[in-house]
Amino acid sequence: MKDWWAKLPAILGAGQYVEEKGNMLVFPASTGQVSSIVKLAHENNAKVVVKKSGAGANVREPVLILDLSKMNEIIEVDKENLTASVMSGIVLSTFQAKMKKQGFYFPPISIWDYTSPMIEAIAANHTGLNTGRYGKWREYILGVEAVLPTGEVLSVGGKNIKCVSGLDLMGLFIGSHSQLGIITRVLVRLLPKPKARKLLIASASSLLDAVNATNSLGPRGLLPARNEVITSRLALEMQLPGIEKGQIAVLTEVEGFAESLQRQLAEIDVVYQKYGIKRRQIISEENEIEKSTKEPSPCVWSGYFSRAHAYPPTYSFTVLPAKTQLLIGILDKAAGQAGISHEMIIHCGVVAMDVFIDAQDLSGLMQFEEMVLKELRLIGGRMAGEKIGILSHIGELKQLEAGLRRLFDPHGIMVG
Amino acid sequence: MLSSAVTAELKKIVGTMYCKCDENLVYGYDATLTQYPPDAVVFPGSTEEVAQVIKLANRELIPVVSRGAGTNLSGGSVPWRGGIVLNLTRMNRILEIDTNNLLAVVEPGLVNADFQEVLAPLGYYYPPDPASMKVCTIGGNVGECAGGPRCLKYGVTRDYIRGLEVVLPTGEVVMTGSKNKPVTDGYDLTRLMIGSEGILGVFTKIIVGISPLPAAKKTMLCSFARIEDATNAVADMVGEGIVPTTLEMMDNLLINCAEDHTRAGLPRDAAAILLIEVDGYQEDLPRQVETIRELCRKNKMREFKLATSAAEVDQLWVARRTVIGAVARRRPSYSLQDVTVPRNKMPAIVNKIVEISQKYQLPIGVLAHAGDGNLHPLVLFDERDPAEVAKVHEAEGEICRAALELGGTLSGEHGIGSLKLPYLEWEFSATALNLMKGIKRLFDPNNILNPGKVVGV
Amino acid sequence: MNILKTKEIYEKLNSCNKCGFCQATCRVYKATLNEFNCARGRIRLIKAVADGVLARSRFYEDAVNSCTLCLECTKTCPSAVPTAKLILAARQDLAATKGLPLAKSIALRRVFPSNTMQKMAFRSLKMIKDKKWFREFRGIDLAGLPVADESFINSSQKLPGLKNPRLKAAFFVGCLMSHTIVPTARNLVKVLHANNVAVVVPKEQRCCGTPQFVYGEGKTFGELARHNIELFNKLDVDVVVTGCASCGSMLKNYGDLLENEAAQKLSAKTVDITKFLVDTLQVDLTSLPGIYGKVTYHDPCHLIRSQGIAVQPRRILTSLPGIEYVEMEGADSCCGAGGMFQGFYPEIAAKISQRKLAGVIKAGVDTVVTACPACMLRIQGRLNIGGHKQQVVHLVDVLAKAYEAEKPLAVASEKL
Repeated sequence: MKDWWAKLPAILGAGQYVEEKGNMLVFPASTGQVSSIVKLAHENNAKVVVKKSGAGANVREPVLILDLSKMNEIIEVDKENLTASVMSGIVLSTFQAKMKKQGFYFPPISIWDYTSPMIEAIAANHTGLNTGRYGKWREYILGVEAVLPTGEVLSVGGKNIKCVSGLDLMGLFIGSHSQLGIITRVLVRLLPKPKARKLLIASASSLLDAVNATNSLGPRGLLPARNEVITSRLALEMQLPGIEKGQIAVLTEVEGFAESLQRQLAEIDVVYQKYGIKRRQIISEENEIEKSTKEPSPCVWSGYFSRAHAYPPTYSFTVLPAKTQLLIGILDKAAGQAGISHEMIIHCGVVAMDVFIDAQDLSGLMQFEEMVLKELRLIGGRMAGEKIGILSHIGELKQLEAGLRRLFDPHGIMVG
Repeated sequence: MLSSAVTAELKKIVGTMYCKCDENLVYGYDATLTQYPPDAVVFPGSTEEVAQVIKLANRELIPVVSRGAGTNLSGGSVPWRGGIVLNLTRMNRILEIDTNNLLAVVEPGLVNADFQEVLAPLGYYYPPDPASMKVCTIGGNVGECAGGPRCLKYGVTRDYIRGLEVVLPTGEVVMTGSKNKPVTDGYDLTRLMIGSEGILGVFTKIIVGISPLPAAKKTMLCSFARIEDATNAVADMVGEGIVPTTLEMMDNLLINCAEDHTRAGLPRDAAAILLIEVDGYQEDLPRQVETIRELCRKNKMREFKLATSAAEVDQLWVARRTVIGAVARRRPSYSLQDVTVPRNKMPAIVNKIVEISQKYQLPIGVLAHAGDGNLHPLVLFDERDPAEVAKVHEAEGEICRAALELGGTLSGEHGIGSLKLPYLEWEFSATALNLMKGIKRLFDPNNILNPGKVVGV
Repeated sequence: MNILKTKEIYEKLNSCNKCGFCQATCRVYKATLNEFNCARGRIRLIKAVADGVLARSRFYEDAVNSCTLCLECTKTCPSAVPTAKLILAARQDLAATKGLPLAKSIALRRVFPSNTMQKMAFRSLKMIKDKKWFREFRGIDLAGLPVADESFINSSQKLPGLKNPRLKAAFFVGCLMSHTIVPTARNLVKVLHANNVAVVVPKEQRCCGTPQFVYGEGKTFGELARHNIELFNKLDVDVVVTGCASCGSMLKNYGDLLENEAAQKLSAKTVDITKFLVDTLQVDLTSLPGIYGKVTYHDPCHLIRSQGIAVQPRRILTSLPGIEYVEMEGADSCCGAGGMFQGFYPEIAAKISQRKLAGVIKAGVDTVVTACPACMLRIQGRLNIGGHKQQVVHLVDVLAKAYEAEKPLAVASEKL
């Protein structure tokens, strides 16, 4: 129990804090509160972490855990400028649903983030479902209000689509696991809702065929909004309509203007047939493509999320489309030698692979990881969370990152 | 002046013919009115040479300013503390084009238009195409995070850079990012470098994403009797969910200057014209064109022209790309401003600019990327008249302040450089500025690269 | 008053906004990547000299002299800065303050202006050009240079007369055409005769004055101009026809430069052969017998940019039966000759010519047609040195061949 924790009630008000396993869990309701709390922590050299949904804090010393779930309001939606200002604790799926109702569209999302608060999604910056066509967080964040690890409030950006004033501080907060500061408010860019969408569900018997087929779309000028290849066990659990046991699922969705969708889908169909991918279903109804998770089947994207989210990916690899085949081979070989089984969701267009490994097989995991990393380096691939490249470069980069961390967080209070 | 020992060493690094000490007058300017001659200019031919020059500079504490074509619009390439100009135009090769993976690896001195010319026959292009694309270099584009007319739909340079080989201000070489689309494996230093205007590093290899050429496009010209009608039309288009590739706006003064130079048939008495382009799949375009036509009509447009041939399209674009220079027919000097406001505040800022123009009795033409709220007011004057120059600076300040008051930013495309440095504290809090200065000091302890610019260290 | 300080020149020196767009089209800049080799840099230096802050050093001389005067920058400049004019003024200033170097001085003051000296110079050239050491001089193909035993002007005093000519033309031949490509000169006469235009070749015509004008040797230029003006104005002719783009351009500028009625009279009467044929004579070539070849056209700088003539030569080539016309890339960019430029800056000229040759080769033609002897000799010379087989001819050479095929002409024909 820390002395300075006694000052918290005055900042937070009654009931907004609870001691848990020796840590202090707090529920601030505003940027001001976060700022005051962090300032205290800074002055007392105390550790602070932002709560990750699902996980408990895994630190030895007592730590202050910030849970921003109360800071979940949409502050403003600006229809003329296509922006929305939200508090960072808002859950992504909630935000997306609300935007859709108003006729807008907000793409950044990955499997991991579906039910996460925005702050977590930004902090982790995973590659996901929409990355191939719509990119990641950096392309959608126009402004950020963050509480620095010193307690100061930093506010940068605005409703301007183009901005090159000064240095790009916003970019540093994305994907830095809240190490440089706690984002409390985000100004995001919205897109107009696409006029129409169509989802093609197809099956493949060979993973290589599926991947070659999806990779061949880009050079033909076809750019689906979403294109996922899902290995058979996962696909079965997702209960995708039309996909039977043992089949690899290919989910290809096009969206845009209605006139060209038919043709795009027809062209994609032709390409898939060449590679032996069989069309199972085409869904055009909006409500069938994306239903709320509360309702039962036939879901598609909701099913996708809830099943995939159930056991989060162990690894996330990124390779160039032309090297996808190589990576699949590497993963197969390594898994075989390490004696573990793995399932994959491949986000085409990037190409990014989320690899799921069963909990029981953790013993072979070290061996698997070592083998994969070695080969990954040779084919120029990357892994989320792990620096791969020329050793001297990596050393220099790590030094710079450490320097940045010290600059933002002089007392080293942010854990994560 | 550099000592003869230093000069000798520079000559040894880049070769005698690529180190020049008597041509300084022509490497001290950019496309603004500021100039300051350096002490030497070197033309490195490789990453290694760049690294060695910078290491030498660190040892001798000599400022180094990197330069491409020298068409910078904010004073960023001007070596105002003297020192060495690092001219990267020799390093202008395309190292790799990989259409299967939609990427290319280029050297910084490659001219943007030359790059496009190589990509076009392959069916690809590099979307960020600033108006100066015929002369500006990719390295400069990355340093300034260049925009261009296509930003509204396709984004800016920042969205197309996958990785950079950077020579840090200390002379160490690192690779930020990779050929892959960006992966989260640490802090996003690639993004930090983009738009850093030469203060955090020198880019020696740039990995860019390229895109297939759009299947089809349609170019339209709309004229209006009032500027508000034009900006309202823009707002309506965005509201309808149409994202044009391009939405360029020119006011009456600029219409006439452009027409003087190109004789493209622009309507000389219109208050504003909109140059609109949509692209995408062939079958999607007619409806978009019709919607746009309807919206413009709703906003009292006077004339609507749809370009029917490639030659017509080119002509309309030449008028737009050369208008900035064409104003010199009116007054000898011009100052090109770069202000950005949220899109719905465009009418307000345009009104303010008209006010300022009248207050200072300086003609100001308005050129805008209407879709993203980025304007380029052109203040016309004669630089040999000190009184006018003073007025221009004041008018500039007022325009910047007005933009900030409307929720805008100091620079949408051209960077802070040296010209906008005095206004930086209007936009950023002390907290933010301290962080930025801290970052600069972290990367560049000896303050070698482009000292004094952007954040004022 | 120093020419650089005159209102006319000084104002223009200040009108450059340093936008840098001239870099895109300056062939010299593209060859060297030196800022002082493009319009923006040169103007900056000339202004510095005008303001007295820069000495007329070797570097400055180099900057001013290393321009081919191809006029691309002047055409591209959005601010319409008359760069060529400013450079010419700078050269005049240099000639006045530092004087011309000896070689140039002899050439411009003694050799060119005197028909006798020209004859002797070319005779000497003819004697040495096939010797081992002189076959190629500074990138100029001397071995392949045709040098006539007798100049065209001297040998064409007795031309066949026409019974009822529709028009009478005086032929301003020019030094190069007279001493080197004599068959071309003959062909020009043949073409005019074939169109019932009588031709007279005044024997006392002298150098048009371009080299003198271009290097600032004002006094000699004035003498030459006045001589030619007086000579040609005396003749009872309807037009003065030229087959050399540079000579034609110079004659047409006499009026503006000398600013007297006599000069203006000659300028108004002067016309390039291609323009004369298409615009005045309105030749109809469609009924001529077919001559066969795959050709492309090179625009001489002094024809397309100085005189605005580009459509007429192409009209001729595309309407000749049997000719397959291909437009080459960079047809209108400088060939690299630049008059004496090629001798003073051989490396730069070589690079510029290289680009021209690349366009020729890519066009896949066997013949390059142009309308200027200097361009002809340069492109042919570089093709020869590079071991390429393409031929370069003058437009009148092609036309004469067509007319000959129709019916043999009085003057003995030369093989094309």
